[in-house]
Amino acid sequence: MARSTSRSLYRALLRLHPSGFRTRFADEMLWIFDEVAEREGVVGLFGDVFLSLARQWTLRVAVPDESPYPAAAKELFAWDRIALPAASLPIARVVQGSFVTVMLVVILSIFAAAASNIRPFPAALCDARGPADAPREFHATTPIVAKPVLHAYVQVQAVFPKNTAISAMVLTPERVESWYSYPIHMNGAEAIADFDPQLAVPTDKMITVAPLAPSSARIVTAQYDNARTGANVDEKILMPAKVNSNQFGKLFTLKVDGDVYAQPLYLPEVEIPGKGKHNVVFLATENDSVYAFDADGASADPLWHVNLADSIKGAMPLSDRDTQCFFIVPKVGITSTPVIDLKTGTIYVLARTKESKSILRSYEFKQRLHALAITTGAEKFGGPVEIKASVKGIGDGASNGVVAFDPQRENPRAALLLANDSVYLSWGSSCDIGPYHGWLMAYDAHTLAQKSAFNTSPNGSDGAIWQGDAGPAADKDGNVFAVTGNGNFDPNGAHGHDYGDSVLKFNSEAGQLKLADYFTPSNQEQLNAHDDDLGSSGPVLLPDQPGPHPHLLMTAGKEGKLYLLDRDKLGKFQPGDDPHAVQTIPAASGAFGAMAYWNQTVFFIGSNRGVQSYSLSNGQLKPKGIGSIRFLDSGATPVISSNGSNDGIVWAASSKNWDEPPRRSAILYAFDANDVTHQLYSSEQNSDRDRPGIALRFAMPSVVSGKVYLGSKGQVDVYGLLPPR
Amino acid sequence: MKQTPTDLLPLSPAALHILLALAPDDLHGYGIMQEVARQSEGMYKLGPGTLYDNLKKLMQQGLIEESGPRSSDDDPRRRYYRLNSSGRDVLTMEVQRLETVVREARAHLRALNPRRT
Repeated sequence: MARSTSRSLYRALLRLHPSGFRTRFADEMLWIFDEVAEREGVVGLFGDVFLSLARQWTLRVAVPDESPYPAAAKELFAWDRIALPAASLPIARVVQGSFVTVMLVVILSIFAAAASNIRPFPAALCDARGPADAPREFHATTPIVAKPVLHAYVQVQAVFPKNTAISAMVLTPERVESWYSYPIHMNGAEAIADFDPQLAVPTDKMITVAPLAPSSARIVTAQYDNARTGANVDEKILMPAKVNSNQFGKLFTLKVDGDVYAQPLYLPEVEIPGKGKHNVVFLATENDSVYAFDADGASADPLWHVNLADSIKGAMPLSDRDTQCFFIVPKVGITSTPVIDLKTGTIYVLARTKESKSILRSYEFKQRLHALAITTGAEKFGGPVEIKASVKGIGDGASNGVVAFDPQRENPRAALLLANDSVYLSWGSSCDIGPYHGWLMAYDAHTLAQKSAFNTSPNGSDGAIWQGDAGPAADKDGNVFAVTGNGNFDPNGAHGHDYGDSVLKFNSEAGQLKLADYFTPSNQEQLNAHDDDLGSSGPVLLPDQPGPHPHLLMTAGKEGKLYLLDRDKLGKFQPGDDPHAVQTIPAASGAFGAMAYWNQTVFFIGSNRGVQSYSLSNGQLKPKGIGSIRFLDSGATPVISSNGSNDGIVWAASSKNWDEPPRRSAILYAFDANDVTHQLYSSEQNSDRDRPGIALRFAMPSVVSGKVYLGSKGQVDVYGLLPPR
Repeated sequence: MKQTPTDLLPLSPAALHILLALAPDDLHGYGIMQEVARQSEGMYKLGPGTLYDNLKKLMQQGLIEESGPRSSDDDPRRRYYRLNSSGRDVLTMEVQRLETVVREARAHLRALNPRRT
């Protein structure tokens, strides 16, 4: 644009300002334009003058102009002709300005809504036609036997109902040679099993194709079970031979309204009212939302979605300013992994909100336990129930000999636990902002009434139960185990007992949280002084072992030491070099989250280290292998998929460094569980296709029924076997 | 009711920067824009529209006033502004308020630094 033209245009825009402002400042602004435009260009100046126009006409026109400089000339802008006379009441001008502002907001909202109406899936995956539960023609109820044709290879195509997993086996006259499992690819109302070239078999063999029995695999709690083994041993589709970047990759992405720290949960064949039977993945977000999606990507829209803040007047998730902590940004709503009760069809969720009855009143902070129907998301059992508790004590923040639960300071991170007909909830801190204490509470799973509340440091401070987001554990006898972080340790205090940096065991008498035993490392004082929380990871309960210690518990802390403990006799505190532990192993890197156990093997991913495996024999751990792929500081929580004791795969998601903002993409890894030095897959091998969302901390993938669900910033990416090319 | 300096706190970022720019010397509009950019090391820049909107408001609040031309050679479109005693009081109180904020922030950042949770 020629300089003279832009100057004329700028001058014209100045003339459109209200008379008081224009008369007083237009000449000066034009002079600045003359000074700046040549050197810095005119784009910024025009942006500024447009903003100035909007501001003067919408915000400033409502205020009577007290300028001593009267308008020199009649306004040119049409507004001047409809503007109220100067003697009008200010309220009339407020209304005038408000009207223009509202119109601008409405127009901008329409544009924003139009821009956000984008479906994340390819059209083929978005358009599941017809109700999913409608009867289907079933072309393959009995095995199809396809005789090889021509010379070398055979290819078969068969039609199955939606969501049916299939398998194929290659027969020779003497024996079954090998099995293959295939995903079903959606094609309208039916599912076409389209076999890939690997099914090609020599002509002297037969191929049989049959539907697999429906998988009973499900994920109702974090780390798959209450022992927190992290292993799904009922995986029949994903196997090491198939998990590579040629055959395995990202299938689709589920977009949600907040960050997903909670591990995705999964149930097969859930009857959703009016929508038929679906395999369902349940997601919870930091925006206080809970979603139920078709787990196979039949639609980008959820089967149901509830926002637990929306249902409360004036409520919203907390911000990181409220928590004064940068670890979870920008919203803090649901962090802990929920838990599902199959007997009653209920998903329990702990949600945080801040609430104000009016814009003039300050916020109150609340935490509530919700019990939602898995089929609709509707509240059950008269819920939600607000979390409240107090215990006797003189510790940090105590008042009149009582320590009360602080819903703003207390940060629920560890996963929920369902045991003994109770829902167990636990709390730690946000960035150690005090005063805070570790809390563990039990709520009746059917009435949501509080049964018991335990404070880990009533006479001191801290003692968080956070466990790198892993859950407290429960054994078959109903004993509950949790691990605390830094804090005072004084088991014999006059007013109560403090248990920082300890493994706590509670028995289940009448749902009361009665401390039955504990283990505290010999160097607890040093751990606390050097920020080496024992409770940076959670407990893992091992299956019964031969030898003198049949009931073992594993845990590890930031110090980088693995502890193998006897659950029947944790040993309390003993000086020396942990003589009360069954075994300790220096792992050389800090632990966050949890270890995993599968097939007499323990898997551990420490900070800035690769996957480490340990063989477990006669109740003793022995180092076995270590992978070369290093995970960032805070390591990762491994999860295992296998078909019984075969086809074991170690899955893990690379996180972000603990002190950096969330801007780095996560990486999904798969390793051979029998040889962790053997990497099977990385989402970076075909990053254009497979790269997940922005990494959060402590994300645990959920592997079930041929798919991997990985939460990240505002989305969950779903991986599985790829359609044949 | 008469406004006290406290009623005007906290200042908006633009008002704070303009008062700071005028603290050592009288300046015209363009001079204020340049001084604000210098003080903030280029992190905060005012456009003419924002500048004069704030100048108008600060004059109405009685914190700054026009000081007349410096010399007869000046471009007649230039007008100079200066901080008066009320403006200096308000600026002093705002700086004291910010010192408290910075002290609190440093305390919290110290609390954050050593621990990984």
